[in-house]
Amino acid sequence: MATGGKVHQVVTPRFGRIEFTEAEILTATVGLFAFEDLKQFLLLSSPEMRPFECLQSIEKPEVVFALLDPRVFLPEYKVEIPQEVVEELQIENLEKVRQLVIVTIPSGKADKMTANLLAPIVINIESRKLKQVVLTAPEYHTRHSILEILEKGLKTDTGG
Amino acid sequence: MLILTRKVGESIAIGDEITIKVLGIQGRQVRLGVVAPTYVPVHREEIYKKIQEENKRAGNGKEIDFEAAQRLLNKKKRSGE
Repeated sequence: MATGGKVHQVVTPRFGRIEFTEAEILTATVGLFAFEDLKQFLLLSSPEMRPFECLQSIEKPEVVFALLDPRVFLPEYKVEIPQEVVEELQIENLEKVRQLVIVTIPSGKADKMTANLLAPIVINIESRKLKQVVLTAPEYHTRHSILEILEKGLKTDTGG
Repeated sequence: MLILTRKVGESIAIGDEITIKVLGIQGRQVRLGVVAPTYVPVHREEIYKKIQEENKRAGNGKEIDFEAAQRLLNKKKRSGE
């Protein structure tokens, strides 16, 4: 638990009760697509889910996204952060920026897990601001099979 | 729906802050330039919808089986090395 004042809590269906301080809150400058109203999140990690992490909504506890550092399965994946996003997230030091992708893990079919490489989550750890950024690279879409990428590399298909 | 006819180089203004300009026309394609504040996301509609749809699938994470996902990931990574 980081220091940072008053301890708040949220009760979530996935993780039960989570305690956090204001310093731990991540704020979405613009909400994630389809979740525009949700602005406050926690980034959760634990040995039980490593290398996955979770983006847990504070305002709507049933909303939680599995995230993965894309370098785990695609070392060459690179996000060119557009200048307006650099300003929006108040990025000063790129080493304090995390770029994670949302992973969809279908219930009972983890082998079908896919990563959204088109719209990664960019988090500035310093300003505690995050944004889902849409890339313009034509090789990325919203549903890349992670296991297939590990097996055969990135296919430049247009699925998703 | 408001329907406007514009020539190349002409614009429409939406409120004070948004301008859409017709940059060029080539066959069946129209190039548009959009000026909008950063808090107004501008995307091709089909991409916007796909990301929304995928987020809805992904965001309901209460039943995520991390253990199975970890196991598959580790197994595949080892076999690839």
